[in-house]
Amino acid sequence: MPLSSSHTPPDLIWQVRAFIYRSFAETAQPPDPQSVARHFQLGPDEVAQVYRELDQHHAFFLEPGTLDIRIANPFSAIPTDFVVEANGKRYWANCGWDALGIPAALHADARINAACAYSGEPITFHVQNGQLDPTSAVVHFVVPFARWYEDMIFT
Amino acid sequence: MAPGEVLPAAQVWTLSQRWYDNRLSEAYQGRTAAQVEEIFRSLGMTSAFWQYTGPADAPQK
Repeated sequence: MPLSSSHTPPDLIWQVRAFIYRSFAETAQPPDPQSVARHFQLGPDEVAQVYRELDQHHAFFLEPGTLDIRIANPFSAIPTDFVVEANGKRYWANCGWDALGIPAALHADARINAACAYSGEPITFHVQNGQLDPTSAVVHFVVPFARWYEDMIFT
Repeated sequence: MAPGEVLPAAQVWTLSQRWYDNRLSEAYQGRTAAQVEEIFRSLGMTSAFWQYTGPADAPQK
């Protein structure tokens, strides 16, 4: 469905969003833009336009100045200290909240390995049958909601 | 510890379920700040830390 104007059809951008999230769920990584172009029969400029619109919608976050998807919450495309094992795969999460967000999004059991931000001590969470195993751990939110998008990577 | 809010992991798990439950759905098209605040309110997260001062229809993660 080649685009004929500078405005992307609304349905298309959300179909691309779903395609990208499916890739994260199935492979723990985003698809490359060429795969998106092939799947949706788009040209490189059209894919770039869709990516930029989705970034502006906060549907995912690109590395500045690139088409590299860095964050599609709760997934991270790059290694982090929050590793989630689920469905026989290893995912990276962006933070403690997103580490719990991955089994919530996948509706899957999970083992989460993280490191305490203050002591460096390893922390493990288990999610089974939709329940988080009892834990005394806490999650520290540093950035107030009103400022989340000033620097999403820091948030 | 730096300023901010500290929540028990069990509460963050509930937040995660409400926040990410439909994230892989084809139909998901984001949510507004007003919808986010409703989720926060349902979990008792009502302090100034969880309030948004921008446009109610601003896109959220």
